[in-house]
Amino acid sequence: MDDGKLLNLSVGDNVPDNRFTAKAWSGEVAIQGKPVSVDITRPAVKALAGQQFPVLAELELYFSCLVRKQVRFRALTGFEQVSTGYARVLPGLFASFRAVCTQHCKIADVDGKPPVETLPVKRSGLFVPDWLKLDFRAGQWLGAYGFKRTL
Amino acid sequence: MNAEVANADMDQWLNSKLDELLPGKLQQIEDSKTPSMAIIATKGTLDWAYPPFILASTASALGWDTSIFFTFYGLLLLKKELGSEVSPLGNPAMPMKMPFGPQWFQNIDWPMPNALMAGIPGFEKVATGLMKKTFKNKGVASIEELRELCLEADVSMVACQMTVDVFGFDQSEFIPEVTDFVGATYFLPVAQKADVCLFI
Repeated sequence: MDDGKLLNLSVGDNVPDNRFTAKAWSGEVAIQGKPVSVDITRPAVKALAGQQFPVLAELELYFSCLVRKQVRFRALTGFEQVSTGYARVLPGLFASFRAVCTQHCKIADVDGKPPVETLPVKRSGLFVPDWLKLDFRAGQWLGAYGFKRTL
Repeated sequence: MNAEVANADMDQWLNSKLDELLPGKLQQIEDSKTPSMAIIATKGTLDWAYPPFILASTASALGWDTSIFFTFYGLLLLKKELGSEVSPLGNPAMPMKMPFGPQWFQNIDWPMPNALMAGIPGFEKVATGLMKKTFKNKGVASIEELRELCLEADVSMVACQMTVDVFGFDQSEFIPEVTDFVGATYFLPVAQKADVCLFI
């Protein structure tokens, strides 16, 4: 199945608190059965209104020699792509989570970075983060997520 | 004589039956067994904090029974306030790249002489700050987050009581999720039975 058109990949982006004005959106959604606190800046809410297709914020926890957090933004260009596995955040915005790892492949078969594949996690809902922040700046979607205990 | 022949026939039948059934049965037992991993974490610097938490969280995500024995300097990774640092001194493999500025600047691997790294007070703080910034820029989960992931994945975290005593710590200084404060004699049997045992 076509996963939709990739808009951009957000890695290491910071969404500072001062981006959340009084008109920002805050709420809670259930991703894989776990409540996730979501904050969306005003520019991101406005950008959603201008999108032709629904946007999917796919939270990925990338397991390798380090563990990396990234958010993959896709435009869901087909109705059939709105999977039941996606959590509806706002009209036109969905969120999902998956743990991923590098797909095993030969270097000669791949141009650039090897693709990722879903990590066969035994327990559904494991590692789903506690909070998510979304922003839109300079034509790019930005996403940051984390876990509640800053320890 | 007839009894001997009968016994020999029985043995032959039994052996052929075992040959037929045993591989499948052993495979069944192997497939239903939960893999296990035991990690002994002995280091507490920032760069050495990552491997035990990453390996443990990954193994646990895959359904393995995972436990980590924190001993010696590794015990510091269980403190409520994590203050792990890293030093480039004695770490000649560490890339000395700046995590800020234009890309061409970030790509420069600065040759830092040992005398400089050893002679400037607070150099470790600078190196630690730069490494943390590098990881943050690349979206790498922090040690605190990795530890949280391990706890969420039910990794058993066991602390060495002897190290607590020797370095004058109090159990209240560590995270409440520490499963046990034990000695090596407790953990060795765990390590013996584990499918994978790693010393970090």
